[in-house]
Amino acid sequence: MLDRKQELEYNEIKMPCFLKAETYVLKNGMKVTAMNGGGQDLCRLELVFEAGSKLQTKALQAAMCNAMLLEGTLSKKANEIHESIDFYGAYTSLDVNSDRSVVSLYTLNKYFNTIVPIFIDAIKNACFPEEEFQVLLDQRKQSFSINAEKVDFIARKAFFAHLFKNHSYGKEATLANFQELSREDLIEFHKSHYKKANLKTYLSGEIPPNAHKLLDELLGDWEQNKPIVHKPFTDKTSQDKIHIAKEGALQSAIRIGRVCFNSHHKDYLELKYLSVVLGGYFGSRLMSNIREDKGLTYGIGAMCVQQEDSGFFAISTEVKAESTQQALTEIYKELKRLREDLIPEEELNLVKSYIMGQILSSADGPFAQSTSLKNLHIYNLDFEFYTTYQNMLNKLNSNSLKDLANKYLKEKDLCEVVVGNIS
Amino acid sequence: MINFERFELANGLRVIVHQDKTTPMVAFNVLYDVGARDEDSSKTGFAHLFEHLMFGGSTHIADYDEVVEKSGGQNNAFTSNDITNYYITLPKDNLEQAFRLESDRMLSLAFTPKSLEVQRQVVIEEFKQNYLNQPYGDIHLLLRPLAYKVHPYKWATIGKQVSHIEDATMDDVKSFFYKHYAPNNAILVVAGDVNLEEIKSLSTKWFSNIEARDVPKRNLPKEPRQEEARTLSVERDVPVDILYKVFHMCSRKDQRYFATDLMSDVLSRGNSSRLYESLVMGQKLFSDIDAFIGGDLDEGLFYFGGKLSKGVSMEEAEAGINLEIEKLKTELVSDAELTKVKNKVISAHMFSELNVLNKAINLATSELLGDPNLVNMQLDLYNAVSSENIRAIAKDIFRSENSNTLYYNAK
Repeated sequence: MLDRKQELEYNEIKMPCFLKAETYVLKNGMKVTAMNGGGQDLCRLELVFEAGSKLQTKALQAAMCNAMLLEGTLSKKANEIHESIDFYGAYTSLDVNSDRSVVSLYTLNKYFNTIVPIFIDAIKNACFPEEEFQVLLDQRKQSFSINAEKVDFIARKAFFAHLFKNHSYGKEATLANFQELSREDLIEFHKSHYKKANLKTYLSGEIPPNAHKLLDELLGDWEQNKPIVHKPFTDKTSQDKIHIAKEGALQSAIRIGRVCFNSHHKDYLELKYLSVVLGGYFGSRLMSNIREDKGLTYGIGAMCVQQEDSGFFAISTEVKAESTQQALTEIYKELKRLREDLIPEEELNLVKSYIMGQILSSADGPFAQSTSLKNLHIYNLDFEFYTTYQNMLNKLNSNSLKDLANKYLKEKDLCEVVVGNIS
Repeated sequence: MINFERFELANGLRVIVHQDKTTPMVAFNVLYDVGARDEDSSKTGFAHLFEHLMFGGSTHIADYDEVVEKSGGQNNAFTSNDITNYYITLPKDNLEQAFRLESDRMLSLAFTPKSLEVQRQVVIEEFKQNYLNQPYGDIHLLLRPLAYKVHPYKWATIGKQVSHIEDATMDDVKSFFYKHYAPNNAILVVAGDVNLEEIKSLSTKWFSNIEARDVPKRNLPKEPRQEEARTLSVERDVPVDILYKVFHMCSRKDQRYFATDLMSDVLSRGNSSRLYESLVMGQKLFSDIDAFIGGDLDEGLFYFGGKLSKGVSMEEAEAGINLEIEKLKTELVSDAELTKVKNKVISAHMFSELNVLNKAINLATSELLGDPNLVNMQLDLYNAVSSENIRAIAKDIFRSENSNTLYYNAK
C-alpha cells in the first residue's frame, strides 16, 4: 500500500557540470568566449558594449542609441537590414541598462555566414537616420506616457531617483527629455561607446567551424577602448518616505529598500541569501504572509541586485489600495523578524536547496551557461564563483544572518515609496 | 524532431515520455483538459481561480510549494480559455517528488476554507493588477463579448466580473474538481534524461490507484456565423487612442490554421513585415501595430491592434488597416515573402526545442489535439502553405460583416 503521507527523501542537489568555454583572441586582442554544444544547428552571438545610461550626457541617449543600432547605415537602409534578418529567419534583441548594452543575434547555422556580417556591419556603421529616429522616439514617448499611468512604474522611478540621487543610476528620464534629444546625440554616443569599444563577444550553441575566422575578419579591426574603471558607489541611508497619491487607484505600488553593493563586497552573497528568505521565492516570508495568508496582493518580492558601481536591496509589490497600511505594517514586521529571530534550520536548508536548483537551471545548456558566464565576467568572475557561493551556503548560520539583518535592514536605513492610496 | 513514447494507464491517464539526455533538469507537465470555456456563464473565472486552489494543499501534502523548493525545483501553472496546465522543472535526482505531488492533488485537494478565502482575494488582486488598474487592461474584457455572442469564449479567463469570484462557494469548488480533475481528463508529459521503463513504473506507482471519474462530455454551443459588422466605442482616461479589429477564424484543428498563422506573420512578424513598413514607418498612422491569432482550440479570432500616432484619427487609422487587408484579398503574397515567414517559423521552432519545458508543453498540447506527433508535423504543415491558400483565407475571413472593431478613445 502506497503511503502518500510519507515524505520522500530529498536528494542533495549537486553543482552542475560547467562547460569549458573556449576563448578566441582576435587580431586586435579582442576576446570571444565560445560555449559549444546544444545539439541543434543554431547559435547565438552576443556583443556586450560598455554603453549603459550611466555614460550618457543626455537623458535617453544610451537607450535610443541601442534601439537604433539596426536602423540603417550609409550604404544600407533600415528596411534592407530588417528584410535580411527576417528573410534568414534570424532574431535579434537589443538590451540596455544603466551599465551596458547587449546586442544579440539568434541564427540558424546554415545562414551564419550570411547574416553575421550584415548584423555586425549594421551595428558598427549605424548612421541613425532622421526618419527612423523620429518614429522610434515617438514610439518610446507614447510608451512612456502610458507607463506613467501605472502605479508600479511611478514607484520604480521615484525609488531609483531617490536611492541614487547622487549617482547617474538615479537619473530618470522625463517626458520633456524626449523633445531634447536629436540624432546627433546618438551619433556622438555611438562614436565614443560603440565604434570604439571595450567590446566583449559571446558565442553559444553548435558553433560553426569557421566562426573564429569570420569573427576575426569582422571584429578584428574594431578600435579598442580601455575598459572603464568602476568607481564603487555607496551613500548614506535614511528612512525617507515618499508618498505619491494617485486618485482612483485600485492598488498601491510599494517599494522599500536601500543602496547596497555588488559581489565585490564581502556581505553581498549573504545579503542576497537573506533577500531570498524574505521574498525571493514562492514560499518566502513576504509571499506567505502578505499573499498566502492575507490575500492582499497578487505578488510580492524582495531582491538584492548588483550593479557595476553599486547595488541595491528592494522589496516591491502592488497591494489592495484599502489595505496599503496593513501591507506596510506586515512588511516591516517581517523585516523585524529577520533582525530579532533566528531563521530555523529547516527554512535555512530549504532556501539553500531552492538556490541550488536555481543555479542548476541557470546552467542548463550552452545558452544558459554562456549567459551566466557573461554575467560573471562583468564582475571579473568566472564559474569558480559558484564554488565560493556553495561554500558560503554550506557555512551559513542563523546567527550571522541575524547580525546581517541588523547591519543592513534596519527601518532607519530603508527608504519607502508608496504610489496610490496614501491616506 | 522531438522523440517521444506514449502509454496509457487503465484509469485513462495518458503519459508521454520524451528523452533528452543533455539536461540535468526534468520537466514534469500535467495538462487538464479544462479551461474557461467549460465554465458556467454565471460563474466565470472559475477555472483560473481553481488553478490557484490547486496550490492550497492536497489530502496528504499540506504544502505543495515547500516540497518543490526542497527538491530544488520550480513550478507554475497557467489557465487559458481551453486548458489548465501545471508544470514543475526539477533536478532529475528528485523526479519522484513530482510524481508524489501531482498524483496527490489529482487524488483530492484538502479543500480548506482558508485556502478558498485567501485565493479568492489573491485572484481579485490579480484581476485589478492586470485588468483594472492598468491602462488598456480591459481591452480583452471588451473584445470577447463583442466578438462572441454564444460560445463561452465570450468571457476572458480571469472572468467576466469580480463578483463571480467573490461569490464562489466551497461546493462550487468541489464540484468543479470532481467534474474536471481526473486521470481520464489529464495528460502527463515527462521530459528530460529519463526512460520509458522508469516513467512507466513511477506512473503506475503513483497514479494508477486514482479512479477514473465521470467527466462530462464537452458540448459547447457553436458561435453562429457573424452576419453584421459590430463596433464598440469607449472612452477612457488613457494617453493614447487604440484601435482593435478582430475577425472570426478557423479552429486550431483546422487545416487552414497554418495558413492563417502565416498570414499574420506576413502582416506583422519582424520589422520588415507589412504593417510595420507601411503603417508605422511609411504612413505613420500607428506608432505600433500588431496582427496575431489567438491560438484558441475552437474557432478563434484574428486580431489587429495598434496605437495611433499623435494627430491621426480613428477613420484614417482604420482605412490604413483596410488597405492592407484589401491587398491580401486581391494580390498574392510573393514567393520571397512567403519563404521569409516560413524561415522565421522554422527557426522559432528550432529555438523553442532547446528548452525541455517547451518541448513538454508542446507534446501535451499536441496530444490534446489528437496526436503528440503533431509537434513534429507542424513544420511540414507550415511549409505546405501556398500564396493561394493565404489569399483564399483573407477573402474568407476579412469580410466587413465578420469584423468587430473596438475604438478605444483617450478622454
